[in-house]
Amino acid sequence: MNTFKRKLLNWSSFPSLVLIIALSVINSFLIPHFFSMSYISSFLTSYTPLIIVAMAQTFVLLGRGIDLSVGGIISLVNVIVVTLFGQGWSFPSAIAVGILAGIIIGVLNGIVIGFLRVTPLLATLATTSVAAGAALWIMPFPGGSVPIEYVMWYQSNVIGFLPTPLLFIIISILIWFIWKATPAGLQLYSMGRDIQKTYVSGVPVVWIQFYTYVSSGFISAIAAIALTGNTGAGDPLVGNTYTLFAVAAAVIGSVSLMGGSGDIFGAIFGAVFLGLAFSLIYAIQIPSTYQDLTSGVIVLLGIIGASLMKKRKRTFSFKPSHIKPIGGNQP
Amino acid sequence: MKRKITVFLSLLVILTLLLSACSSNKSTTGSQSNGQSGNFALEYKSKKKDGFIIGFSNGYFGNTWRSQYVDGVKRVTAELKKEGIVKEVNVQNTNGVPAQIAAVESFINSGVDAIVINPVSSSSLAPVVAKAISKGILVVVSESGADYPNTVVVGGDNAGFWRIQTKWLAEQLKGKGDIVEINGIAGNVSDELRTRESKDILKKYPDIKVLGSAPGGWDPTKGQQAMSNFLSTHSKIDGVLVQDQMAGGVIQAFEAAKRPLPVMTGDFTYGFLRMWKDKYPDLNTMTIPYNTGIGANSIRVAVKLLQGNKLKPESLSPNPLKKELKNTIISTVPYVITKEAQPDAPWMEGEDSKIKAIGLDEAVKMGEGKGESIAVESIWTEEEVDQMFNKPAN
Amino acid sequence: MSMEMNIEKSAPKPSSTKMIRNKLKPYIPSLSIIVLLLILGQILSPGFASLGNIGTIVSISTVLAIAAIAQTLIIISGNEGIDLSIGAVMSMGALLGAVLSKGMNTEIWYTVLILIGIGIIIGLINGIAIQFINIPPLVMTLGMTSVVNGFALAYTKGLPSGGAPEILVKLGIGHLGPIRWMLILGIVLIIALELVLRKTRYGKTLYLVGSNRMAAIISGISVNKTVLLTYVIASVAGTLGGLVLLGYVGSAQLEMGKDYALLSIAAVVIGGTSLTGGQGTYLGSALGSVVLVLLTSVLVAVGMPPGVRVLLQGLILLLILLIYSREPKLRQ
Repeated sequence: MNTFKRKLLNWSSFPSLVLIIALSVINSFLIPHFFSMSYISSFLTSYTPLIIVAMAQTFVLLGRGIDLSVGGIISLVNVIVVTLFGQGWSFPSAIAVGILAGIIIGVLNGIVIGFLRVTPLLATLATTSVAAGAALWIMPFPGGSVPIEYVMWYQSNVIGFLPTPLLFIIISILIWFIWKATPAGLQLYSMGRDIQKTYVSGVPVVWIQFYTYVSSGFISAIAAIALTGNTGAGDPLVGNTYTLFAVAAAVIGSVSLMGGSGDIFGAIFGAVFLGLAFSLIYAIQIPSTYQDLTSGVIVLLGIIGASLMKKRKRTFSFKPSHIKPIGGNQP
Repeated sequence: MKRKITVFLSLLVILTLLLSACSSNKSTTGSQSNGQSGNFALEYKSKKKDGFIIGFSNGYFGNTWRSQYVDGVKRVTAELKKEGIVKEVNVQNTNGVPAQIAAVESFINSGVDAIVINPVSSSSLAPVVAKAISKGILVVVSESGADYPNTVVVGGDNAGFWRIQTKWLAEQLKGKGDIVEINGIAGNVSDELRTRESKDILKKYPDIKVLGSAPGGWDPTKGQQAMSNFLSTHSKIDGVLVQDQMAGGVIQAFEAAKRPLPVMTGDFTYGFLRMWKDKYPDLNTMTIPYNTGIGANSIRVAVKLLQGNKLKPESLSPNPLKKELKNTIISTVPYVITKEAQPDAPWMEGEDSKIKAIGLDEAVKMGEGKGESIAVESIWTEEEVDQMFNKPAN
Repeated sequence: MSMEMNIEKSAPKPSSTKMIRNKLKPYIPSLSIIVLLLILGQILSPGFASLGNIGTIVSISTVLAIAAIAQTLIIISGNEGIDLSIGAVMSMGALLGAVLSKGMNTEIWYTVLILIGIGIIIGLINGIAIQFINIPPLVMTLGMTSVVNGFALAYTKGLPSGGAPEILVKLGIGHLGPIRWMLILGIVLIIALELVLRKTRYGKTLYLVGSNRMAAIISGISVNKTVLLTYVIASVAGTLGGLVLLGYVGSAQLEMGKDYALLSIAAVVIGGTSLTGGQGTYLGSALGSVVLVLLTSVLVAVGMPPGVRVLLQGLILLLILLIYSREPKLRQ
């Protein structure tokens, strides 16, 4: 029991879990039927894409990269699926092509960042334009539709009580366990902590980087499929807002931007925290010109809160953690 | 290494197939529900006469037009609250489709009587709107075009806005000259509906040559940059067809290039009107307010519907995005502002008689005491709204 | 450390032509892209490379280059330093500039003072959170973006009154003889920033802090002070840059500086500064700004379907990064 307690307290995702519980308590007072099944399932329908895309971001962040293209990928996949379905493809094959497109952008990111060594922030900024531009090119104007049954299925339950969106989350978590089951999982963490040392010890770091971006592209595509179940149509701008929220969610979930620390559950918690925060804002009536400020402050407080809790845990460490020897960039 | 990739990629393929299979257990139930007969919003059965709770979901909030639009909603709400007709209008501004869906979900959960929505996407909110309707909530779409079934649309007059301005420009040039266009955002419904009109009109003036058109995103900085580009690549530009907010940027671009100002369409903020009157009295321009009062108008219509009133068939026109869906009340542009009022000018021909042609001085006078970024506005009075509805039977 | 400082120390007075060539070397990529894009633009739409248009492009580049001041300093300061809030801060500067000055020249000094004050506050909050609470700069400044946007919206109620004072408009689009004021401003900024970076104590400390914080601490430099100062300078550059933007555009609009956050990062990297910190020049960032403005100008000048423009922009940016901004190999 004691070891369990210690394990829990030391779990990197623990601070975000605390944040979620705190916010849930607040929300339960302010939102009617907050703990009802119907509320939870409507919450999941709305925020599952964000939860999934935060997971996608986590893979990349763990390897000390960043993927700004996730929003562009979501738009592109959404538009491709809807367009192909509109042209008479069967829906599953349209989904398969859509996911393939997500993987292709991921591969592009992986090549450019892993093999050609362009800095991730800007490389993915550029591929965002590529993905978003392609989405606009394919579908210049929102429209189209997906089978109404798919939308109904997404918004209902499977096996009677399990909201369907959970299925998408579980599939994405599966990918995490595939990573964990192979040496690549450990290598990813090690690479995130110190790429130079990991490289010297013979790990194919470039390939690991490559896989993180492909995984991110693939999982973002899953997020797009989930989102399509919620929107029922195509829109070339639909994914735009996800990118930065995905990063914020991961960070609130204690996934380090410096790589090598955190896990996918933290990202899930971070995304849920954001979802709860937005629900809170929608429920209490804030004058409209103050809404942006309020949501900004809540997100910032979440970030600061998670960082403070994380910091307290390592007060024993000798040197401030931001001082890290930097290799490779001295003249 | 190669083997590892093969394994990795094949795992992805398997997962993809799994996902596709999961989502393919459909094709059970029959065709589209809620068929054509009877529009839920038009036939809305009233449950009470007052004390309504309305959720107002505004899908984008990042320019002055929207601020005034939302402000109009608040002003009319205050009025309706005083009369006791409305208990609460919960305004939620969001950015992007996912956030707007979540906001509407939260309205549904909190049990509102009606949702007035300015959708950020003309397609992607259909499921959540349908969900609201299935819970018996009245949905009124405000301003931006969307063809959701079982809703009433109080639409902005994008077509009229741009049709009259394009005609005006063509007439000023006497049907001959070189022009450039600076438009809004590609893929945006309003921009699409507007540019469709200008294309149609310009077809009738074969001697007007469009040298180029660029997206300015309703952003004065981008509009100015695009205009500067045009100025340096074309030595002769007779007219500029530019959408509202960016007109100031176009003037700046001409000033910077030290070129004489062209015939151009203008902006409908009092800042622009005052500048036109005081600084550029000789500028050949005009403007039509794209009405910020539509939000308030939408609330008024929603309340009438909630009270169980039925719209007159002649109040409704076809949805701009789907002609067979006749559910739209066009909130026509209120004014056409030219240097001197010209009600009989060719560009007013065939337009709605409610549109008032006014002169610059009159327009500037309307804005006394108002800030620079405030737009010329007109909100329907209760009587005007009443006229759109049948007399209550009881 | 910067290449220049290296040269000064090592080679005992090489021939002057060689020195000039060495000094120019980091700028050759951006200069050649600029020439290429000008030629491309001229081919696609004749008149593109005219003096008038170059003047326009330089003017708008100056606005981006001001955002790049913030970005360059912060990126040089190391520790994954980056400022995503600069676009929001500039928008706020423009909005508050219009409201506070009421569009009058006489109020301009008061406006400038208040904007500097607000810039200092934002910079301090960013700096303290990053330096003392250990929040990664990317995330902190991302969070700050929505707070600053929210503040500007709440303060103006979304309907800013006032406008651009005449003096700012003059700066934005006016000329001194045949030369545009914005070009003069740009050149002044380049000279000033290069002097600060190379000749002042602050500049030298900044490079050291950026390249090796441990070493900086050991040699008795106050890292905290340097980093805080850098974030403060960045935010002040942002608020004042907002004023310049206001002058260029002539009226204030919400979120008008939004795009500058990511564009300025791209400008800095194209200008040869690595995101790892500790090296880089401001002249490079300024040239990078010109590259990016040229790129959008070329694409706007050519008519093409909406998505294709965005797509091409991404591909060309990727190409530029691929050719000029690759990180060192792991295998040293």
